[in-house]
Amino acid sequence: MIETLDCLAVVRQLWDYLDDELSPERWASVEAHLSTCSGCHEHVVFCRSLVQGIESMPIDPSEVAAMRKRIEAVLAGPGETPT
Amino acid sequence: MSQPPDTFVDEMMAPLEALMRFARSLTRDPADADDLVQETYLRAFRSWSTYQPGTGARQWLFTICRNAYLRASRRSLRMVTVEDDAELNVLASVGLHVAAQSGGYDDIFDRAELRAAISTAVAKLPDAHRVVVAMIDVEGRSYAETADALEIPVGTVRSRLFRARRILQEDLIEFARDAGVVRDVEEFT
Repeated sequence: MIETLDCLAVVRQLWDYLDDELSPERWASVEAHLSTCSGCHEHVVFCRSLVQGIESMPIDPSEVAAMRKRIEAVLAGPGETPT
Repeated sequence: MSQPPDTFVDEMMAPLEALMRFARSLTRDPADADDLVQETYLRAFRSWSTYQPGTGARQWLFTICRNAYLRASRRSLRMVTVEDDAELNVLASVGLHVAAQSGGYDDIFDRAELRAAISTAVAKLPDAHRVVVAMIDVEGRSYAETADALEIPVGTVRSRLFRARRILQEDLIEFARDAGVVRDVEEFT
């Protein structure tokens, strides 16, 4: 059953909602509020963009290539064999 | 000098960039993170026979990496931290959003100029808060899984995560102001 939530109730559960930590019923109640409240929706977008920024922190491709070479050299070294 | 088996290289190198990002979010220093990544691959290589190809290299490597980090960092992670109310941090985040909206920069975390600053801001977090951000936001673990791995209550995970995110929001907005990326409305009035 979808519960009617006010803005404060939604904001309190905002990070849990973004982290997919709410029960399906609670998630549906938050979704229902967000579909009609532009203020809360914009706040969710603001917070989600921070999490997405953390998830995709940039790594220079040249650093990845250098790391790969370093690992392959270590693994090819004496005494390193898979078990 | 022999080469590692092709099967190991083919499967284990695919998540390398993601693993580097995870290691950098766990440690404060890129050099320490690179050492942690190397250690992870060494441990994976030595126990390669226990891995079933195709069952999830990313998750396997992330678990090895996290366990290596937690073993080395147990002391600092067990430091007693002041846990404040998770809800207060959520409400403070609302205040930051209102300020960002009124200043016209509520798209701030999407801006390219801030991408590198996010890594710096994460590195500045206290160890106990940073590891929670790394596990939930970068590794993709749930609150319960994170609590289990860190041997702390789920409520503590929430508190540390929400506080860390508020700190990150504040730090990044301050950085953007200092760098002239954004200006507050009141500066023009």
